[in-house]
Amino acid sequence: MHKIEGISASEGIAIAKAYKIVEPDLSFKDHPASDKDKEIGRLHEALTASIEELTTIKANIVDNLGEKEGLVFQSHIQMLSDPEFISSIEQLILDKNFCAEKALDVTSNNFIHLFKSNVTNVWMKAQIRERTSDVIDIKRRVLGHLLNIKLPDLSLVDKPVIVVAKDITPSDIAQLNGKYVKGIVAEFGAQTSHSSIMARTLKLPMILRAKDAIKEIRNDDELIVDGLSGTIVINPTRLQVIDYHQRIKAFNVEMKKLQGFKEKLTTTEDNRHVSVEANIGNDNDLKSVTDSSAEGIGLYRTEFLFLGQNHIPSEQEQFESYRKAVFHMKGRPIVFRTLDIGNDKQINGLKLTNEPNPALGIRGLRLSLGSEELFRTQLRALIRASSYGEISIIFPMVSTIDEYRRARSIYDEERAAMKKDGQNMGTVNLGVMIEVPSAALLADEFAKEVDVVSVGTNDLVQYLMAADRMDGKVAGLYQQLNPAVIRTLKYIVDSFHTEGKSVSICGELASMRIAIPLLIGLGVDSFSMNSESILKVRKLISKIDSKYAKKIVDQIVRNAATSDDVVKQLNNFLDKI
Amino acid sequence: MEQRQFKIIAETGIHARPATLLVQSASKYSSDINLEYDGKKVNLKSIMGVMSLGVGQNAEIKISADGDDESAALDDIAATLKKEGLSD
Repeated sequence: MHKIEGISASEGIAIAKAYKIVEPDLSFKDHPASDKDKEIGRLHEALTASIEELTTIKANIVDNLGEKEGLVFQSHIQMLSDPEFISSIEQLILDKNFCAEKALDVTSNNFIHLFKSNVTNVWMKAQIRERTSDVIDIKRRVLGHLLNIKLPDLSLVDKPVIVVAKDITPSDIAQLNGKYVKGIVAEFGAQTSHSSIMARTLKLPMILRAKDAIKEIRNDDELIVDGLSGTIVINPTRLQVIDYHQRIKAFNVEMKKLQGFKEKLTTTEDNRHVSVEANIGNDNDLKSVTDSSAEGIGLYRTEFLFLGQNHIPSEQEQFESYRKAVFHMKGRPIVFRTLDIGNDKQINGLKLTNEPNPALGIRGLRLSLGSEELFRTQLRALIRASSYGEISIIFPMVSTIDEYRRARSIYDEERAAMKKDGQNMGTVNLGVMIEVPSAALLADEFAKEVDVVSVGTNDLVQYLMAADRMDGKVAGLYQQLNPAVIRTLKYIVDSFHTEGKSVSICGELASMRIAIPLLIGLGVDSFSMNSESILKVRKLISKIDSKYAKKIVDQIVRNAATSDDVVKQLNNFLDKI
Repeated sequence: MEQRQFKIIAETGIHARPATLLVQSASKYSSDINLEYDGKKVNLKSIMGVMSLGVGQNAEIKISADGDDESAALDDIAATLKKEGLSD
């Protein structure tokens, strides 16, 4: 028995065997083919074994996720049976005396070069990049077979496991099989990362920054992942297992209690109504919106339609997803955020150029304004969806009023052109995310121009504190409750209230227990969060007196100098309710 | 040998999914089947070949088939192009 401590990024408790994802060393020693027929024989054996493996993977994916998701593996199989690809490898073995490994490597690289040389539009660009990673992927698989090295593969898992990895990306989570993966442990990452958000949505216990997890944990070790405390127990004793089964029971009881807050509007103790809404990433999350009885969708992160896809979704595909959500909400509010990629969210189909500082580079609306074709396509899909119910569209990472005006004028152009073509459309409210300090300081000006606003606290805190939320070394400076953050939030809320407009908060802060009285006291009108936090927050809000909260917050704004001061005052408040 | 011309109308061009399905259709037939675009000719049974052409919107492509089942192959491929919204 041995313990590792990390930080909890998604709560819940799981007990299962470890399954490590470690990228194996696939380097090979280049040697001339001594027996050409034998090399070709080895190649074909490896190809056949790879195809068999992919056929199993594809069948699993189709069973678990559906036909569409299996298509990417169908194309991998097709590549491995590609007559031009195979004959080109064979030719190198025959003509140049290459060993099978080298012939495969060279041929793969040649095709990648060929792909890159014929790019005609933005979709093509994305798919070529995606195809390039497909080629790299199949090369890896075949090399593994040639070298007799087994590759880890989450979709081949057929028993309950806890995934142990160095780092876990949003696309890893998009691909894993929820039926067998019970929990996640990673050596890196942050609670506010998108992987964490996804794990919470899927209700998968996840522990990050588990030091030396890869070294300490062996495949098939039994693990307890306690996502409530951030503890991982390796090879627990029988007593510990029994104890943890009790804790799982208790956790489930608490979850059940919360069900009493379903189908209720959220009100404070003194009967002020606030709206508690859900953050979602795609159609799959719609069920959780209903299950948690969210009062709306406060943030539809459209980039997740683009993540885990093998191409950039077309206008029609986007429209169908958006329409589904609008239908589903039956008139309740829904806010779409336009494509927000860059920084910690990268998409295979649209790899951004390497920037020295991606957090300050091309991301959010900056990317959309620089790829107008992509932006216009998304706006058209959204405008079409509005004919099924009122929607709001907000632009992410806006630094200046000019950017918002430019986005709005592009929107107006598309809307006018569509109207001329006789397209049906409904009411669309336009607005911004406030997450850049310059926009926060101009909140009064934005309040005059936009219809809706949402404050993205994750990025706002990162930029205000100049501390990277992904970097453990400066995590201490990433203070969500620093008085500077609170004063900024107050300025934003007050500015919008002056214009008679409501304010929504959609960062992690919106679901942090300690921050709820603060946000109520500031006068925030709606809270958007992961579905699984909704009932908990609704329960907590029902115990808060908003007038008393306002008094405490006014004191904090006036007197608090440090994050600790704020925490102390808020904890005092929470202790009394 | 038989050949037919098509105009690609889809905004995305021949992207991943249709390319996979086109190759799947072509591979069912014994005839030699080629796709010609912009002076370059590739084997339509080769996904890598098709992807390397970069066929975009408004591209005029020529598909030729040579063998016992050439007509059936071309009918099937034309149907796939239409079903995937690539051509009229």
